[in-house]
Amino acid sequence: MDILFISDINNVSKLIEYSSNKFHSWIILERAPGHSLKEFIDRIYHNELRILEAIQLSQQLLKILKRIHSQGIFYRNLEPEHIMIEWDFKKTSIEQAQLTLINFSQAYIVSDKTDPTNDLSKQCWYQPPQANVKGFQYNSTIDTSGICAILFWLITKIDPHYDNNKLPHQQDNARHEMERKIIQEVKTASKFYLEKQIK
Amino acid sequence: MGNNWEVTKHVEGRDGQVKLIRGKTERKQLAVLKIYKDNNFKDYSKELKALQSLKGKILIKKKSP
Repeated sequence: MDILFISDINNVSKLIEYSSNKFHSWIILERAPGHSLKEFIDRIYHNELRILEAIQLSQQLLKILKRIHSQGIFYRNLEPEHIMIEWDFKKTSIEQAQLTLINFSQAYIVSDKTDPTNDLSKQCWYQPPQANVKGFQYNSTIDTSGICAILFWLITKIDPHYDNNKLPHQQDNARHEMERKIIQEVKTASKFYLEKQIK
Repeated sequence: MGNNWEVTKHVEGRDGQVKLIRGKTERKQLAVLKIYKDNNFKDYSKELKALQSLKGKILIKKKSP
């Protein structure tokens, strides 16, 4: 049996006011707490995120997007500047971080499927391969690929892009960075294990 | 924008202008004013519709084990 329950979507910008006329279109949104993920990683969080933490953050994003999809909306605009994060990293784990998605200007609303203005902007931070396939621009997998791109960026700190027909993770600099990170993780885990054995 | 807000900071965004604002009477109310570039009605209407759809309570369907 399926269970239905009521919930808030707390991880989305909250609308306060809006207006549009032939001169101006504007909206007022509640200010999301914290900093953009880009600013947080580049300027505030001075340590490197561990691979496990990057995965946990991506899992949180996955849950948020799943809820948004359940309302018939595909976000299609994932990038580090569009995710706000509030995280007291000195006291809590990354699973306690509050994430808020901002900027829904690329959203695809399933009930508007005939709207001709639904094309995905070429200005997006990450263009998944399926974005160039007819019909796939209006598919939930655009967001799934976006989460993979965020995970890739969290681990490597490299913006995902295509060069010489190579996918982002196949680029030499990305491969080196991922190898470095894995070696570092293995060393940390080995040290932890040895210390535990000595105790 | 009504007279209830005052601008605290201007930010030039990719999609248009963004201003950080706060309530004139409710000083603790912090908000963001987003003005769409070239009066881009397409982005405005998409964002508005998505945010309106996601506002408030939603029904979640969970499969029981």
